[in-house]
Amino acid sequence: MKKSARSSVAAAKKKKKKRDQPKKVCRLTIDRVVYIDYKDVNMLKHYVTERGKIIPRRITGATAKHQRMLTRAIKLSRQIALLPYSAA
Amino acid sequence: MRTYEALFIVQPEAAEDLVQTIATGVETLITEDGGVIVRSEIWGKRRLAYLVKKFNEGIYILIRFEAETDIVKKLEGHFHLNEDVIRYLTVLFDEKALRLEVEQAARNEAQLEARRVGGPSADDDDERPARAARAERD
Repeated sequence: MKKSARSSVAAAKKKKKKRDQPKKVCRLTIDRVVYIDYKDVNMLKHYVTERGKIIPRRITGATAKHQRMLTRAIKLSRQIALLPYSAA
Repeated sequence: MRTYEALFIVQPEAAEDLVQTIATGVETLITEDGGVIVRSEIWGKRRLAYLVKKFNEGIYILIRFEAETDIVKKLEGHFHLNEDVIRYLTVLFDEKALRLEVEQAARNEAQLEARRVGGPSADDDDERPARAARAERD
């Protein structure tokens, strides 16, 4: 009884913390992007860090669908040396 | 017949006519097996994101074509044997990808148009024109 009360308090706290952060909305969703081209380096650049890593969607707010498209495009782009695998 | 895109990099020291011959060579390889060239572009010299065969730049050539599946293997064999081609990538475009690509192109076009009509944008916190165009459209 006591235990469950405590855990629900903890859960509420966690929830609150999450709500405090402003909801991230992905540019791709606003622009209603339907296709991401692996050749469009200038656009893909926004979704990798300066070290070349793919930015997680927890940060960018991309939908799962958009993140999948991005990932594929970035990986193809890397193969043909349009984007780096690592470093600057 | 399927649609593919071959993007390959020729070493940067290649002369312009050599680049041209390589491009036409690839095109004939495709067409003689019954393929159709949809688009062929020479992007020119670009900096590579990382060293490829000790080159830090290369000449990019893009060829979009429709062909049977076995051509891809032949084409990649051809690239592999050509010493001047330092990197190649062949991407399949299925029907859905093609449809979406066209849709996206139309959308980008519409946004550019909206931007032109609306004049210079007040919303300039982003370097990407798409955002400004969208802000005006909505």
